[in-house]
Parts: sequence; structure tokens; C-alpha cells
Amino acid sequence: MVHQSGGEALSHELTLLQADLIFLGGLVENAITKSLNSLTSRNLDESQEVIIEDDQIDKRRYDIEDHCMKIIREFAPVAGDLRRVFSSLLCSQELERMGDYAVGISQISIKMGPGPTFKKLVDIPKIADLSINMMKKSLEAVTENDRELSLKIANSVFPDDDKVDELNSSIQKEMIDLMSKESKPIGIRNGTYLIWISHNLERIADRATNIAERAIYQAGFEL
Amino acid sequence: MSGEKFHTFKQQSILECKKLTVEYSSKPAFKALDFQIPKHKVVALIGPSGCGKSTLLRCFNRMNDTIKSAEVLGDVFFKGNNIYKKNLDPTDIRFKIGMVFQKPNPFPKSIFDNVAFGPRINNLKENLEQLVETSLQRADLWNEVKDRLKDNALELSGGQQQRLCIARALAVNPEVILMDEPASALDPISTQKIEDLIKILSENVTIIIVTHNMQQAARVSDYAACMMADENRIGELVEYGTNKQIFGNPVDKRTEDYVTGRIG
Repeated sequence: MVHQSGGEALSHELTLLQADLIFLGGLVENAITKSLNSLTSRNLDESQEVIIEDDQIDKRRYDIEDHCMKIIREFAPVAGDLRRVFSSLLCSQELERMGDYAVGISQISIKMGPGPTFKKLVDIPKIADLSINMMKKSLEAVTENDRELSLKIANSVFPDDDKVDELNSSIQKEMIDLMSKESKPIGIRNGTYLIWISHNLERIADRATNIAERAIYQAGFEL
Repeated sequence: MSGEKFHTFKQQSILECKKLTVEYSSKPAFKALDFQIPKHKVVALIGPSGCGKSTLLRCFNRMNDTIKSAEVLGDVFFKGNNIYKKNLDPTDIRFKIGMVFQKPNPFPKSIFDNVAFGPRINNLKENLEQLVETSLQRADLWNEVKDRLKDNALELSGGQQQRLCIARALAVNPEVILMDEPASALDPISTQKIEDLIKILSENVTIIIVTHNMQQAARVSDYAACMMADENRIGELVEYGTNKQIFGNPVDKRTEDYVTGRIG
């Protein structure tokens, strides 16, 4: 058995922590994508799967917390190592909340029932694509070891947040306008649901910017 | 990374080095450096073995004078006065700038006489009992020894002996205490007591500590100076900054590598 020095052992643990975060990110991306697919295809079984599979995301988040605590206990990290552990802890929470928003979308999808959506979905898939892309880029930034590259990737996340905010506002305005012309209560209800779905996607984008900010802090730069 | 590599102090420093270096048989222990120690703060000197930390520490109270092969070049100012001025008695300086060593070194005398030794030399014979009690209290040892002040100091435990050495240094009312790995020979509980003591003492006494224990340095210091030896085994000051900078976000990669255990 090769004996690892303290520094090597810590490096190894940090690599494992990175892998944990990437895996959690994969689960969350899958959950968001699936929740959107089930919304557009009206496949409510898929919506149900997202809700059930959220337990795995929660478990992974707590596993990462335990791993961070273990590293702190055993190695008392400082400097860049400490920033990485601290950032991983916070990012795991952000990712888990993104998973919760995916669950929210699926729950709304189920409440809407099997019929078509209130209106043809045009902007919601656009906001979804942006949010998912932001999530992936922010995760890439926080798991990147090269400081300069991490900063570059993180900074590329923020402009998309403005686009998401604009799209969300536009969706809200459009839904309110349509609902004002709607005579049936069910129409108003379903319009409200679509506003909520857009809101959840916008919150996913906000969480992605939080992760990007963590990546910048982790790399040792000021925001 | 943000932050300066070498912190500059706005307030007046209690100790200041200018172009300071030490040569052992004409070989420099570290490159000439300029360095300030702020008043009533704890400054940790960190770095791998052989980079000149202890040599630098000994410059502050002229303990290198006791080493035949050592020659100190440059200046050290204590409250604006050069302590290496000719005809200055280094003993006077050592009352004001005391030292605690890695291995506790109480005198083979009673606990009382250990602490009273310095004041007696200084002809401070009035209120000696009170002075000894106050010093032992400040060193967090009074309660453990108050009923046996006549006992031989060598009967104390290692941790107690080290606190006795601190009390001995405090008894002559120093303004600075130099500590060269004060807890490295002690058990974890004694180490914790020494660290707690450092934090309390630094409210009234400036402390400079050499330590190899990164977590200790991170726990007790207000500022830290990182030294490294170059390829010719000559030390140099690599970075000097706040605790937050050195242990949170160092400017120099060598500092980052050292505090994270990648080198040294």
C-alpha cells in the first residue's frame, strides 16, 4: 500500500469531492430536463419519476456535506483548499434547491392534468434551455482547477441571467394578458401554473449565478 | 489573488528591521529583509525547516550574539531605537524583549525563585510576592502552584514548566515576547492552554511566534510571515500579510503550497 503524504491525501479527497459535485450536477440536470420534457410531452408518469428521484438528489447533497465535514475534521484545510471545501458545501445546497424547483415543475405538470397546456409553450422551453446551460457552465466553473479558466467560465454565466429575467417578465405579462381575456376559471388556474413554472426556471438560473459567484471566490478572485 | 504580498502597517510598529540579515561563517541564513512588527499583535513566522525563521526571531533580542559564528548585519529598531547600536547592553534589551524556547527551561530552583529571578536582578525587590503572583496569574499557572511555590520547578509537568517560563518572562514586564515553537514539545491540552494564553497576553504584549503547526499559526496569529529557502538554502521572506490573507487567500503560490501542505 502506497503511503500518501498529508498533502497528497487531501488532494485526493478534494478530487473525490469534485467528482461528487459533478455527479450531483448530473442528477439535477437530468431532473430539470425530465421535468420540462414531461411538461411539453404531457407525460405525467415522467413527472412522477422526477418527484420520486428527488430523494437521490437530497441524499447526494447530504453525502457531500458529510464529505466536507470529514475533510475539515481530518485535514483542517486552509487557503485554496478551504475555499474549495466551503464552496463545494454551498454549491451542493444550490444544486439541491435546483432539484426542488424541478420537482415543483413536475408537481405543477401533474396538477395541470393530462390535457394540453394553457397555451403552446414557446418561451418556457427557451428559458429552460438558458437556465440548464447556466447550470452546466456554473458547475464547470466551480469544478475547474485552472483559476483563470474558472473565472472566464463563471463570468460567462452572468449575461444569460439577464436574458432569463427578461424572458420570465415577458412570460408573466403574456400570461396575465391571456388570463384577463379568459372566461373559465380553469384557464386562469392553468395560466397561473405556467407563471409558476417560469418562476421556477428563473430561480434555477439565479442559483446558477450563485454557483458562478462561488467559483470566482474559490479561484481567489474578488467579485 | 487580491492583497499585497508584503503588508504595510499604518500604525507605528514596535519593532522594525531594515536590510537585516545574519551570516553564519559568512554564509547568509536569509536574504536581507525589511520587516515591521505591529504593537500588541501576534505575528507568526512560518516556513519549512532551514529557512531562517528562528535566526530571524533571535535577531529581535540579540540572542544571535551568543552564537560565535553568527554575524548580524543591518538594523533592528525597537520603538525607534537601534538595538544593535554599539555599547548597548543586550541584557537590557532582553528584559524588554523576552524569549520562550521550544524546550521548557526553568532554572533548577523553586517556582517562586524562577519567577523572582529577573526582578531580583533588576533590583525590583519591593512587592516581590505580589509580582510573582501576578506573573503566575498572567501565565495561567497561579491556581496550580499557589500552594507549592517553594517546590522545585523541575517537578512540574512539561506544560506547567512552559507556562512558568512565560511567567518568568512576564515578571520583568516585557513589551515583546519571542516564542520559538513554544508548544511543540507539549501534549494537546497543554498546547491549547499556551495558545489561549498567547491570545490573552497579546492584548498587552506583542508576540512573535515561530511555529511549524499551520493550524496553530492560523488559530493564534493576527499576521503571518512566510519564509522559504531558495535553491542555495538561503532563506527569504516570501509573503507577509494578515491571518485572513495568508491562511485564506495567499498572494504568492509558494505560500499557498506551504500552508496547504503541498511543499515543506
